[in-house]
Amino acid sequence: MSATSTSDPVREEEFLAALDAGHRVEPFEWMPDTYRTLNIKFIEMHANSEIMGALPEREWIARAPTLKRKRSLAAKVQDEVGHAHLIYRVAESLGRPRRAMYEDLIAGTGRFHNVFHYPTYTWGDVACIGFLVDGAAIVTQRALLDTSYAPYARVMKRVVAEESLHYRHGEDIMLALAAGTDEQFEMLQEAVNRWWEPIMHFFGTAVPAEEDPMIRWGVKGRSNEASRQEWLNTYVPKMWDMGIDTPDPKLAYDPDTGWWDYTEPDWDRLAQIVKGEPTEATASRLYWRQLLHRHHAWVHDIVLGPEPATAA
Amino acid sequence: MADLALPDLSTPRSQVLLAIADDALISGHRASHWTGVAPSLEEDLAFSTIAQAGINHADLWYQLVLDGTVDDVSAGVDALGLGREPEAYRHAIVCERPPRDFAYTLARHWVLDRFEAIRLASLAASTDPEVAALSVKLLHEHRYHLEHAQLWFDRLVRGGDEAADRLRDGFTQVLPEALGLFEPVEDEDQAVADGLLPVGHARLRERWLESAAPLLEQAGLADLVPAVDAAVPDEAAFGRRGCHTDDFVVDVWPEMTRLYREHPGARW
Repeated sequence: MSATSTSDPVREEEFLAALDAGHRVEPFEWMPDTYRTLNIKFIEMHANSEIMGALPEREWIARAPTLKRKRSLAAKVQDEVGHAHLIYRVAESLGRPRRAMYEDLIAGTGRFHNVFHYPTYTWGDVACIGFLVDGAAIVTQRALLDTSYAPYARVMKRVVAEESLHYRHGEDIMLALAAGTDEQFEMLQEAVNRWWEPIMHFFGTAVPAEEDPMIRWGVKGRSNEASRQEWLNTYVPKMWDMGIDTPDPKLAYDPDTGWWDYTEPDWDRLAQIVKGEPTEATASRLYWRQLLHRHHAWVHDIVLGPEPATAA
Repeated sequence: MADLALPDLSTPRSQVLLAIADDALISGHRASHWTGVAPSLEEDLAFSTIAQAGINHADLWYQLVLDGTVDDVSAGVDALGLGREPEAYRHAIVCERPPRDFAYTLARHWVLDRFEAIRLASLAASTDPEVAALSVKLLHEHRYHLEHAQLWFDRLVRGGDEAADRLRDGFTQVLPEALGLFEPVEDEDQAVADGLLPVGHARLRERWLESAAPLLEQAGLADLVPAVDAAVPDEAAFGRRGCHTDDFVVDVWPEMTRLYREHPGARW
């Protein structure tokens, strides 16, 4: 076994012990294959989600009801693309080239979060994405400030700071609709009903922390259920304050446990959304994305050189 | 917004300011097309910034059109930006064309930004102090747009045959239509005589040609430089008088204004 082997069980134990002791890993350090692979998988999906998350909101820049909203939505979507830009670089530092990730995403083989597979129908969806979906993203992203891969943690500092501006942007749109005409309120309520299950899905199944490899290897610092509970605890009271009905009749805070009870979402449907055939919204967004991408191969060649680099 | 008493939009002052504001809004709207789908992440960010600048500049110019006549300035701005009928918009037709190929987008970006910088520089001497002050302020921002446009111009010129050919195609489409930018608004002579618009659009055309022609010539595009007396092609003429093509009337305008129009008086 050579000195640079990435599957040395003794070094792997030492590495895990260092992680447990709070060590932060830099790209030039030795790391086990499993650590590298898990991080690439997680970080690539995060970056992909920023790109795909831009697409549903992007559709509304052209339709925004005021110039102020048009400008702020354009700025907000731009931030998401900027996050993808930053996060792809983190994945690159682990050896996965940006062009390969990007081309996989466009080809439909890259994975991304469930919430970005859905269509948008009204400005109410813009409110829900900006406040509730982004709120869920903030909860999970804040938990990444302590991630063990140092470049990722550094980038997340900036991402989380920008996300807190998005929180204000989303809250402002939501409050305007909640305080608006009957039609506007109805637009909002219908959108909340549509987004409820996707958001409950977003956090993933309640897999125990000790069984989650992403937690064992220091990628994530917190269990899916802990994140879901934090979101419920933060956002449900806000929705109730705005007079919005939450669509789950079982939803209630249990003062004894300090946790929220809720109806278990349909996990088969989640698997179908993220692993099955693309939804109509995703198929159409990817179709246009592919068309534009192919049509602009000449630009990629100017910016990046003619051939995608080979994956490490 | 029936209770919003907008100022008289037919005055030379209003017509000049609406032309400037509408150019910014409609080209900004078209630039926002690239957000999320541009050929590279860097250009995605760049065109999102260009879009925001266009929308923001339009907002500021609309505020000058309002000239303190309405209490609710945001509502007044939206009534101007989103509440007019298509024939009341005064942007040049070249601004409403779809983004097409990225090379067309870049060629138009180059043409529009050079034009806007020249117009703003002349407006800095406006006798209307608010117009002069805003022009000086926006001119600072345009510097970055000009640099970005020139960077891509150079990149495409030297980027091999395909890139250069595409740039040539882009300019072939955009340059004749760009002449529509230099058409006068209604009663423009009056605005020039008043000093509100120190240099009329026709004379801006000379300045623009003077600045653009040498760069186009150096890039091997001399044959595309419009003649000094070239006429605006029919299909791109009279945007400043409210004539617009289906690219605006059927494509941009309905999508951009529908939500606003469907809920009169609503707050968003």
